[in-house]
Amino acid sequence: MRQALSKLSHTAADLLVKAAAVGLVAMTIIVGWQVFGRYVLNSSPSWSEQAALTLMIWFVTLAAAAGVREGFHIRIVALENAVSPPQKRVLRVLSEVVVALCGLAMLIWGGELVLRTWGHTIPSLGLPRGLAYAGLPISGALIVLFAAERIVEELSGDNVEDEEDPRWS
Amino acid sequence: MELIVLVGVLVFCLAIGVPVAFSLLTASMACFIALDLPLIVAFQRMASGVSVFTLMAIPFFIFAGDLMYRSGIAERLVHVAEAAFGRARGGLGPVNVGASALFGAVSGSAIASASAMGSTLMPLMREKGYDGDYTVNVTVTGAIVGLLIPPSHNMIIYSAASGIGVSIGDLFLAGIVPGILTAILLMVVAWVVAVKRGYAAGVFPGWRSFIRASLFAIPGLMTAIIIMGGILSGIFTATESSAIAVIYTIIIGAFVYRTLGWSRFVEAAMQSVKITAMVLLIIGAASAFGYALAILQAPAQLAALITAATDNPILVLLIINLILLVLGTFMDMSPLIVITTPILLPVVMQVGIDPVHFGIIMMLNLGIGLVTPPVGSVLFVGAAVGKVPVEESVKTIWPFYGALILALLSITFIPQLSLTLPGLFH
Repeated sequence: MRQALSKLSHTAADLLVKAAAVGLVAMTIIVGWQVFGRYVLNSSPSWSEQAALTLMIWFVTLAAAAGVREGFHIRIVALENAVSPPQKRVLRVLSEVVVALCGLAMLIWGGELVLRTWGHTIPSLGLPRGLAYAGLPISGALIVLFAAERIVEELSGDNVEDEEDPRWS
Repeated sequence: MELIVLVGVLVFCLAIGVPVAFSLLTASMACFIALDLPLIVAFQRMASGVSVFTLMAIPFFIFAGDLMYRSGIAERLVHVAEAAFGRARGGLGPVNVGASALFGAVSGSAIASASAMGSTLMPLMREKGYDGDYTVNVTVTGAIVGLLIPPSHNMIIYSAASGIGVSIGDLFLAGIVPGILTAILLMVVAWVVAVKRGYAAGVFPGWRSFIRASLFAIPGLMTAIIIMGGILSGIFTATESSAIAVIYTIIIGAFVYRTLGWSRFVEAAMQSVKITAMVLLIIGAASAFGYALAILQAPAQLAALITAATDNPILVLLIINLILLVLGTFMDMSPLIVITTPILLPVVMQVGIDPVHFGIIMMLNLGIGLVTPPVGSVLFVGAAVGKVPVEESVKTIWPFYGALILALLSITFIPQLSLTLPGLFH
């Protein structure tokens, strides 16, 4: 049961990153189209910049949730590496609890932000502003689930793998 | 009092290993609670912090850099540098630095540069009898040059974090001379150490191969011309030029060099969104954090504190450089840029330092932090690729640190190094 859940959450995280990657490619095409439109078609699409930005906010929030599951968010591990394994486990559970609380806050107040800005319209796209931020509460909910999953794994003595990938500077 | 909550919660969260973005968010929420502000403000700030058009250049530059790395453009640049400098005694050391500078001109990611040089040049150097620690040291410190030579997505992060719209074009131009200076200093050190250790000299492959290597590298190097030319001439915005760089890299990787297949493309896209998500989540959370700092008037207080001690720009810059160097050994570059820029920039501007100049100082200073333990991602990547223990390479890295510090001091105290080029374009 637990293993099935763990597999499911890894698959979900992988799908989130894949969806985000599609978003990145789409964003590239949109901005490329904007330049093409301006210099070749002599008419720059008015929606392109806003659409690309909205896409970016969406894929960043979704991939950020996946990052909680896969542990690729940058963090300081100096203390964790200096203490004994049981103490390390305490630290990791504690830090996942903080992350889960952040996710909960994103769900609640991010959701409120979406509701409050639903009436505003994004200029040139004609879509509600709240739609751009809707990834925030969704990502918050996913973060709560992913962090909870990691806490369960830590407490049951599994080896929780981190995708320590520093390739980001 | 609220400031203690803000900083205390941040330090606590960072220490127990909470990811940087969530530490910033937790600290700002704690501060808002202490201030009796509604928590929705934190998320408003976060949302508006990432809803900035110029930030779109970050995923594009990261994507372009990753695609270049995976399509082997770095190898072509290595061939050029090797043909140019390879014949001197210990010549592969300076070759490595030169190739890193060239790669920096097309990519701008220190980690991509370290992994690219690590996988192409390190095996070659080991084969020719260079020691493991030396190859790692040259590779990782050479990679720092790429942060200064445009394009550099860290400069875009700085521009966004400055809050006063420091021009990205100016920052890109300002980085060129300091980047070349740093590269030259590193090359000299690499050469001196190599001669001292008695590494063998290479053979000049002849003008024919030099020209051949250069011709093969031209499509890769064109990226730099497209980006800089596009921005400076006003044909593209920084964001557009970065998207064009992605499209151009895909075209030459897939159709000219024919090294970029579907699976490498997918890997690059997935890797890039992960890095983008990390960086932008930090930028969003740092906007909430910066707002809390601003309410508490922390930047003004720090400015008063420092300027009360001294209003000599040289001393102020020395103090700030020291603070950043210390912070840089513990934390990575992008989070430090977003956290410290809003605090330090007003201080340096008050003593008359140009924000563009300060940006360049920051790039090199925090870049040094990437090659210093305990937290030095570029050093760790280089050591991992070179299969040399970090402790071993750090033992002999001191001359290279010396070159970087000398470069930092020169760039700090000779503003003309940074500001002359952007001045010419105004």
